[in-house]
Amino acid sequence: MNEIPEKSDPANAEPRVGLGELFATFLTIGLIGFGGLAPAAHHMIVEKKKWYSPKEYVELFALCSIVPGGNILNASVIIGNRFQGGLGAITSILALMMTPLVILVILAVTYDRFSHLSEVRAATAGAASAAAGLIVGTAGKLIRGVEKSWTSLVFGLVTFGAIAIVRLPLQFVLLILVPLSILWALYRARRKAGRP
Amino acid sequence: MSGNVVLHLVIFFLSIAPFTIAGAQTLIPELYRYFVTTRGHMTASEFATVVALAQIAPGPNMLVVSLLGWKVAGLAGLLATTAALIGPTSLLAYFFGRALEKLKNAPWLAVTKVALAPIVIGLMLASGTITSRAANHDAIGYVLTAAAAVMIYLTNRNPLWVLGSGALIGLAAHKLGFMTLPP
Repeated sequence: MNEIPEKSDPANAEPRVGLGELFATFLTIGLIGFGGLAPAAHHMIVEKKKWYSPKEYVELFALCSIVPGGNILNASVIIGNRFQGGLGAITSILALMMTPLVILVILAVTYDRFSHLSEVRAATAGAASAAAGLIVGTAGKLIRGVEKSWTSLVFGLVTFGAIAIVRLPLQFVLLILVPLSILWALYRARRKAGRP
Repeated sequence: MSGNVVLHLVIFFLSIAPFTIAGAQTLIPELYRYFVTTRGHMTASEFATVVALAQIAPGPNMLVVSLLGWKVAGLAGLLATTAALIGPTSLLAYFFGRALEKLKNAPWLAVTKVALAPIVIGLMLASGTITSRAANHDAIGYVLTAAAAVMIYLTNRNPLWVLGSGALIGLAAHKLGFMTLPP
């Protein structure tokens, strides 16, 4: 079935954004994004450029979190594509990645140059221990936002056990657990909707 | 010779790219298996160092993959791993992004999000466990990991602050002779 594209409301017209502006905006997000790109992206795209309303932006990110890949990278592709098609998507993601990649290489080269010093190795070992804790703590924060139910506990524990203890391949675990979890959630949503 | 290594990297990352949910942090157990266990590109503590450096660097957490590529095969490795992971996921976002944007109010979208959440949390805890085993060689390491987890969980401080504190404590513990350094 062919869908007729919606005619845009002139009062709500799509902003015109060129390739140069996409490049400059995403390069800026990469530059000011120390300690997290997400706040920088929100600042540029919603507050400064007003390409997306706050509500549209939240919806875009909800969408990006269920498509494979990194949220912010996927968002840059979708935004670039919206304004300038495929070329816009490529421009946006490359501009976004450029600064972080250069800084990463400088950091890696600097580390390699000084890693023979035991002080540097000790400090890095401490940071590495903390980095592991950072991942665990972030998982803990995510638990707050999750619906507390026996089934979500079971799905979380089975995933953890299969990956961390049994060491099954990620692909295998996800191919089984993701469809099961979606089917269960659909079943529950339907049962809830069936009730008056 | 090194062309083979890069090709192998590309094939591996293409094969896991579609399974990247919620960023690169959920990939860590699989990355560990490839780089340390199967291919022997680095030791466990080198792997933990890469994870830490990638978190110190600003930018998307996908950068851990770029840094692993850099470690194994320099600039060619960095470009290969980054493109092989981000290329397929970007193509998915490109083709399905506009379509999904139109379907954003469809009920199954919300249901999928709810269904993925516990799985993502399970994956993140598994990543934390694998990284913690790779990073820690003694009790001090595990105490640092636990303290960092609590700090992140209870406060909204910038993670760099927690990583910096970890580095300082590591340095102090070493100077005082409490900490064994990885070889």
